Order: sequence, then C-alpha cells, then structure tokens
Amino acid sequence: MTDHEAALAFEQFSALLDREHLNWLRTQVEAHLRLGKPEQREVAVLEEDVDRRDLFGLPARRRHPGPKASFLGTIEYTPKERLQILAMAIAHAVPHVLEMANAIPELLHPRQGEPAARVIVVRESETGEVEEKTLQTAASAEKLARLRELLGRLASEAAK
Amino acid sequence: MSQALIAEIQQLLGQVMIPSLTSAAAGDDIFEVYVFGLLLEAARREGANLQYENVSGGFSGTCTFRTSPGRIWSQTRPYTHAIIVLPNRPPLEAHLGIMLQGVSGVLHEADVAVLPRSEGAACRINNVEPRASSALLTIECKYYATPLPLGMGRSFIGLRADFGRRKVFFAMNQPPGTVGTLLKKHVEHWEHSIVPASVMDVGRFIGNLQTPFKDFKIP
Repeated sequence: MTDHEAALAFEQFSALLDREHLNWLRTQVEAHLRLGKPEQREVAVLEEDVDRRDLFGLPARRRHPGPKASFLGTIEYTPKERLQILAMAIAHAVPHVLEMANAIPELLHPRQGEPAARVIVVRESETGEVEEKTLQTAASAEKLARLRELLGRLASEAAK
Repeated sequence: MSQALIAEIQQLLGQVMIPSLTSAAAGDDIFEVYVFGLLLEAARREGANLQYENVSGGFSGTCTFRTSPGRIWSQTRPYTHAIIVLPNRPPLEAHLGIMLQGVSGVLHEADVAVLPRSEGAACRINNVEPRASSALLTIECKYYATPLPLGMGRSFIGLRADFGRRKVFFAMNQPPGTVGTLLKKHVEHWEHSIVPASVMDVGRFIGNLQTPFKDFKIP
C-alpha cells in the first residue's frame, strides 16, 4: 500500500464515521494522532564551561556538545500508521463492543441454564442528570467476527 | 490495497451499527459490565453460588448497573449488586460504580468492587461509603478506542496506594503499549487486551481474579 492510498482510505473511513454518527471516534483518533508518535533519540547533552572569563573578567558561559544520552521525542505518524490506528480504533469501538454486549448475558446468568437477566446501564452525571440504556445484543456474531477480521487485515496491510 | 476490502468493511459497519454505539461512553459502560461478568465467572469457577439483589433488597430479574461514580446506598434507581456465597465463608457482594474510602480518608470511584456483605449492608443502612481496606478486590476498567494515555497508568498507581496495592486490578481493552511498560514496573495485577476475541488474555484475567476468592476460602 502506498502512502497516497493510505491517506485516501483514511479520508474515506473518516467520512464513514461521520455518516454512522461515530464523530466522537474520529475526534478521539485525531486527538491521539496529534500527540505524535513517541521516538527515542540520541542527543548530545550540552555542557557549560563555568570557569572561563571574558576580556572584562566576567564569567563567559560557553556551551559545547557533551556525551550523548537517550531522549524521548515525538514525530508525526505516517499515512500508513494513521490508517492502522484508525482501523484498530474502529475495531475497538464497534465489533469488540458488540461482542462484549453479546457475551454479557451468558456471563451474568446466576446459575447454569437460568435465563439471562435483562441489563440496564445507568450513567449519572455530576449535575444529577440520569441517562439510562438497555443493553442491546442484536448484531449477528458472524458479521461481527468478519468485520473484526477485515479491520485487522486492513491494519496489517497498512503496517506493511 | 483492495477497494473491495474497504467496501466490505463499510457495508458491514452499516449492518451491525446500533444506536447506542454512537455515544463515546458506550464502550466504557459495556466494558465495565463485561468485566463485572468476568469477575462473577471467576467466583463461579471457585465454587461460588451467585444471586442478585437490588439496593432496596429485592430483585425483579432486571440488572440495573451504574457505570458512573455513585453511592452504594443511592436509591435513585434500583441498582443491582451480586451476592457471592462461597462454602462456609461469610457472603460477599460485587458492585459496579461505587465510591470507596481509601486509607487516606479520601473517596475514590471503584469501577468494580467486592466487599464483605456485612460492610455493604452497614453502609446501606447508615448512608456511608465502604472502606477500601475491607474490600476483597477492586478493578479499575479502562476502555479506549485508541492506545491509552499514559496518565491512566499514572493515576492508577496513585489509586493503588490508597486502596491497597495487593487487592487492586487494572483491566484495559487495548494492548499493553506505553501504559503497559509503566504498569509492568509498578503494579502487580494488570491486564491488557480484555475483549472477547482475545481468548487467552481473558482466560488469564479470569484465572487471576480467582486467586482472591481462592485465598478467601481459607479461614
């Protein structure tokens, strides 16, 4: 995959996220990309000569490169890395979440063979507002597994 | 790259999307309930009997879980906790999203917490918060679509100091990354890649959650 193809695919998926009302995911990915990719660099530490004096007898601070040490910096992600991060983010935001939702009724059953309980998730805000949602488990397991696999393949292709 | 691959992803995304996924909190909320389920599975594997109870005492068959910080005694909704009974041992309670008092006296949120039932009952009667020192274990849950910010690891290290370092677990959906490098150095119980597709990681997590129950079974 070329950088140009990766950049185009990134744009296509960003637009898709907006269409599917997953704008929050695009924002989260962009925020992560803005932070940059951490990179260790060997940098010469500057040393100062404190004993030197200038013509007027005042301290003449001169810096010169000393021994090298390892520092942490950041560089921009490449278009392929950006696409890889976006593909993995979609995998975590959609198929992985839905697969967890599908697994929950089985995990919550009190005893083997008993019907799974209905699950309501409640989020209380600091201002006292209450948001309530019933857990939905509608998506087909095969489609979710296929979507997860394809997103993994896309991320692998971008990593090449 | 194959345009067919992109087209199939786009088509499948449209087919599996449900309205509740369009909120940024959806992953977080479902992850906490999922981890709570894994905890119950660990208790079950240690031979526990499980039942549910709402804050007011009964249980109607609907589990109502709070995924934001709240009070164990709050009756805003019929919040549900699990009762875990291990043979010949005092009963325990597993809760989601409750405040616990750390050793410093400060209140912190515990995403998942297991307490002696006596502690839970006393707190519900008296409208006070449980003490972290009495908890069997707590779990901090982090669900992120992108790699976790390092600050998540740093704040967990602080929480661990206030809750008791041997009883706190950290569970995240993402692979280890830089947070993993930090936690590996400073934390005993931390788990990564906790999603149903990572069978090995989930299996190890359940096994590690069994240990506190195994120890609790010995008087």
